[in-house]
Amino acid sequence: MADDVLLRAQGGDRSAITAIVQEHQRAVRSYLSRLAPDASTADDLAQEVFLEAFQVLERIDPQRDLRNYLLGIARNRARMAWRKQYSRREISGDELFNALESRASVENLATNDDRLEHLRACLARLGPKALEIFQLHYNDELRCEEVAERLNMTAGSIRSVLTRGRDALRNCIEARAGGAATQ
Amino acid sequence: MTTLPQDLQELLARCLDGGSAGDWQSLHERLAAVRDDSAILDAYAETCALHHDLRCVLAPGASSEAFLRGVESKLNDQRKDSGRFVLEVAARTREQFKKRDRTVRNRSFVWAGWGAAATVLLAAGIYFLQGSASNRSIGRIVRVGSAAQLARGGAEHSVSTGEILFADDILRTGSGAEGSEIELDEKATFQVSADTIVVFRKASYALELKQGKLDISVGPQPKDHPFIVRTPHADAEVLGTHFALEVDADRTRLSVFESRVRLKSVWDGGSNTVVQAGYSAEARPGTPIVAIPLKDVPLVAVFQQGKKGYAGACDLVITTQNSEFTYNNGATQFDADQYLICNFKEYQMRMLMRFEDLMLPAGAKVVSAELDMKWENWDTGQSLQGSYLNVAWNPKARELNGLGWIHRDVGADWAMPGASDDKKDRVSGISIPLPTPGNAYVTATRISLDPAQVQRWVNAPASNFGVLFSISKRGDHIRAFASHAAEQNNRPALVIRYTLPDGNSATH
Repeated sequence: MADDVLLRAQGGDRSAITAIVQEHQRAVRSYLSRLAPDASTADDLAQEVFLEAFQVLERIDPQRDLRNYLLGIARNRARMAWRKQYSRREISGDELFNALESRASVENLATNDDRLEHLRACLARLGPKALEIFQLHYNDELRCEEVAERLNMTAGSIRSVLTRGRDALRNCIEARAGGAATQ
Repeated sequence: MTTLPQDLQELLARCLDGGSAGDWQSLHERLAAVRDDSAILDAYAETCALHHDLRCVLAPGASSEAFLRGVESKLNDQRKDSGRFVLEVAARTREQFKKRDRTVRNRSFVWAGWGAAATVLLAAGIYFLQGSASNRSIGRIVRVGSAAQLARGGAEHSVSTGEILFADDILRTGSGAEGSEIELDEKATFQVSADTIVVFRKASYALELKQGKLDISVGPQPKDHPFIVRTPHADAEVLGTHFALEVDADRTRLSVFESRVRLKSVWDGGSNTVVQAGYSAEARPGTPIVAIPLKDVPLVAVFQQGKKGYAGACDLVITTQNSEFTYNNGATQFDADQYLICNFKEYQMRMLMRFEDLMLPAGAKVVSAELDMKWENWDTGQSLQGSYLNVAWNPKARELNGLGWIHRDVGADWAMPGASDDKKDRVSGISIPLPTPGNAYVTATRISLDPAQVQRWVNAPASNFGVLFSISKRGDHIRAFASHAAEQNNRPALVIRYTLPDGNSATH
């Protein structure tokens, strides 16, 4: 079945282009967060994925799954980023990319929206101090040293709370996802 | 869930914390060494994805809207460079549209279509709003007993602490299971016993107890919206109180511990009786409801800072931290939301806790006592220890030579620094058995206290020295929520079950 939004975008409908980004950005960004060489470039690569797709919009077959098409571009972008970073070094960017790519299941991305819901619920269960640390680190974008100074703690403690907190959040998300899957 | 090796975990944490290019390269070198270990790669990728998700949820700059704006901005830049992008795309695709024979021929049809779509969206919006209103949460699970299941929409799952409840949810507890504690939005909390089935309602009654037993505490309710618990045999209308309901095959038994409850039978033309505190009554066929005094049924008193006006909880932490500035007395912490209890190489922290003003009716005999505590714990196997204190300590002595690691009051010292003497500072031979708090989040534990000790606290307040929590193993640490915790539910609560001598009524 043809992708109506894609057809409208190909017809020049700007709102359809926006809709494509809104619909697929989570999957693309999440996929690249697992595959990109570093966290800071994942979103840049994701933006490039959409720009590349829109440049060749008229050539995309509306019968194809647009998400898979975008993820294909994302895969190539990530591979190129690894190659570029390690073109003349001892580490093989290709090998690392292949190792990570083999574990990045596209099927899992279907549940991305659920993941965020689970994450919100799990965050709500964090203790107030831990939540404050997560807020300061992620929302206010403070480094561990800055969070530590503000809370009169050591940077090591902050890093420890973030690391263990992330582990605990992963546990919580997995447990919730498992529970949802059995329903 | 696989955890990353320690060194890889630390490297990744440093990188995610805004690490340099060098940090990332170190990480990649380490990652290359484990590239054949799929479990580690999975853990690495999941942690990266979680970091990204956290940014999406918590950081405004990484939200979907911000991402969309970024893409649109770059698209606009492209348009500036290469002309009007959208029109170009449209021109390029026009021919393909003809081939696919999908050109829309009738513009009015398009407008009609958009109109219909808008109507559908509006209707969907109204439906959604109505739906979301009816699906509002009605409460949450504060503490979950073992083997508790929640049925929602035909599917069942194991309940977890903090889970939000909705109307028509059905909670079932297993046989022999430890009770669960529920908090409803309507200022009601209740304990669910084993083998109990309860349905949460949002109709003319709040709960439907189909089987088992509930121990319910309800705050003041609006007159036009009484809190009613329905059983197969009766409606119990709460008039502001603490009570228990127990359902058997042919009867419902009501026990009132505080204030009053109206019990209305489904038989005998709906006869009803207001049952006072200290009395119980049964609804069963062919028998009028008669209130009889409670015999051997323990009454329950809950002491928690801020609950029903109670203000007698006191807790603080003594520490060796900053001892060099305080003549070794440490920097005692008061009035915190949480306290760190630790045994670090650099310093130690121990928590002192006391519940004062334990007002129970005269002659009350303590049957059992429990301390409900909430923790924030990031490690398993914490070596947490609890002791009864044996000497007085003065939380009002906050000066330099006041309550601390060395002194327990101005002019009075602990027998050993940190209240460490097992005979003089602490009650000899009795320790408090502590359940292991769960790993991470706010985890709740119920700590059984010695009834004889608590009886002494009640009978002779001057001998109420409270308890002390410490960590025995070097390197361990945990955080305890304190009586000043912002969230009422996280504050420690002392739960005392007691009986009264014959002839007395429960009026605490």
